[in-house]
Amino acid sequence: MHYFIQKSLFPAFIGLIFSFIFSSCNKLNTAEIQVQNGLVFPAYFPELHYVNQENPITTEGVALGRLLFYEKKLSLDSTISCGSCHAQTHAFADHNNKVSKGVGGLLGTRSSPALFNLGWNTSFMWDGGANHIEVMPLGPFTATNEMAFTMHGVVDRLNASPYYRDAFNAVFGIDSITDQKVLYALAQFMSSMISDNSKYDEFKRGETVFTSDENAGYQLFLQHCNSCHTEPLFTDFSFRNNGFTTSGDELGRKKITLLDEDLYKFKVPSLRNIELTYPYMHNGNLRTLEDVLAHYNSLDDNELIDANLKKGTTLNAEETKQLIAFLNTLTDYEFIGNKALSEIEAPEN
Amino acid sequence: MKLYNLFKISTLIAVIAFTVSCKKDPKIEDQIGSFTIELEHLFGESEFSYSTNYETTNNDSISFSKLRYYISNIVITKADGSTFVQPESYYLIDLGTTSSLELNVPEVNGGEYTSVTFTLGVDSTRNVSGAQTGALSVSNEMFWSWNSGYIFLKAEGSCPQSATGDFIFHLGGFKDSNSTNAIQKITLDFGGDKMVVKEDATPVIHMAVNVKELFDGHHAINLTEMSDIHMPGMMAVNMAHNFSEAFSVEHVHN
Repeated sequence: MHYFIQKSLFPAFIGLIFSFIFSSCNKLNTAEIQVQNGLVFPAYFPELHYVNQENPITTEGVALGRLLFYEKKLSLDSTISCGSCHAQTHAFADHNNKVSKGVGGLLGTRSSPALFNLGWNTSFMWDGGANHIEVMPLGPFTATNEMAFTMHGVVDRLNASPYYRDAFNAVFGIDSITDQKVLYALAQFMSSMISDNSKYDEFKRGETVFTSDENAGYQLFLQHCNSCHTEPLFTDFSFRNNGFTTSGDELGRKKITLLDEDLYKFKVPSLRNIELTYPYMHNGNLRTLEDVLAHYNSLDDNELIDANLKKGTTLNAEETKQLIAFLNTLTDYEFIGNKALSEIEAPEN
Repeated sequence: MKLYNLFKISTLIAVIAFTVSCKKDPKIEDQIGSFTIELEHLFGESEFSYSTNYETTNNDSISFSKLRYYISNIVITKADGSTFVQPESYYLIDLGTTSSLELNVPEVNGGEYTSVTFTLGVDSTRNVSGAQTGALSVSNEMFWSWNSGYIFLKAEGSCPQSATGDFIFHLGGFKDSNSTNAIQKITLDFGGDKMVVKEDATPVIHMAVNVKELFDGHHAINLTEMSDIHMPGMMAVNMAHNFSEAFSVEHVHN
């Protein structure tokens, strides 16, 4: 860990950034990659959405954000971290639970989303209620059925730790930890969670070929799915009603916009790593990809449903198998095994 | 000889320059000063304080335990229409913290000003710009976590007539698209007075804030029917509109 950056070490610091940039992607040659805000990703990805000149992404900032992501002290009773409900083995979705348990075992109301490629997200949460990656963690920090804490509490606990004070000073040059810098560090770590090395990506780079099922599935994907789950991030970040007329207080996107037209709309999730993130949908009600595709086959033409889904799909068993074969090419084993993202504990302090 | 002349001339110039600069202050427009806005909160004719019973025009009996709100983007204007715009102008007024009732505006261009303009709430840009500092720090608990955006005003207290015995009004909302924009812009004239901003002086704008307007201004609030707001929407817009009528300049001290 290189936590101590000083102005005199600035050239070395730049070197570190570049070694960080290139170490994770030595498989790619420079024609196939782009570099933005200290992050490296494929040339066929769009430009990053999250770039804050005040919070440039550095190796040290990402490492600090990773400590915070796995820091249980940031919940009321020090039992839950972000990583508790966002597990790397599941592409940072929960461990196959429909909804997640917070402090005191209280259940959430929606399924914990998978976390990757967040630097491209234009909003966060199933209803898009969080409008910026930096303020996104306020939701889980303060929700009584999640970490049940306050931003004050988070900052006070971190400031009580000489280890964290030193770490924040090294990254941000501050004597006393502030809420802004906690959120900055988390934004850096979340931005670094890039999933871009699935079989699909190797296929895009011409390094592998698809099987005949995967190929047929890809064609079905382009025909039936790509208009909302748009390549290469496999979402268009829009909000759509895909046929779940939920009950109770669940209004979907309407809760945020108050617009009737947004009733029961939810954010289109990325299909990357979809094999690992079951159960599916905002409420985790569908257990398998077969269930999901059967749902799209069964849609009737109700008035709320998204225009793209009005008639539903008519996939037969063979096509279902082929489409799922393609969806499984979106699993990024390098990402779920990436040690730079794995669970870590701050030293006793 | 030549050298001696040169010396005489330069001495003369130095003496003249010294005299001129000592005798004449720089023009007021070239000076940098500061000013203060002092807020005095009232409820109707009474002085405002927590845990005191007041009556709204609707005859609801209320007592406050919390009143906090944002004033931002302070601008002062001269008679000729030219302005001084304070950069990074965000203040959190908290009736539980006396020091927050004095808004100190430093590094102001000198001049004679005739009106003040400010925003009640937080401009839309800062509502979508991520983690901020100071008055806009999210630790101030004036930010909605589930629906990103600043809470422009929190008014909480008790009211025996309300369904719960309490009232909780959290007002905010910055989006134009669905009539939930609660941002209020207020301009107050000094009524013929002039605030003279110059070096070595800190003029004060003495402002009265009649909290009763929150319930009475444009849209009468009946606490029996409605005693809590927790999200952006038409009700929040109406109450913010009410509160925009609460402010008046009593006088300016120079």
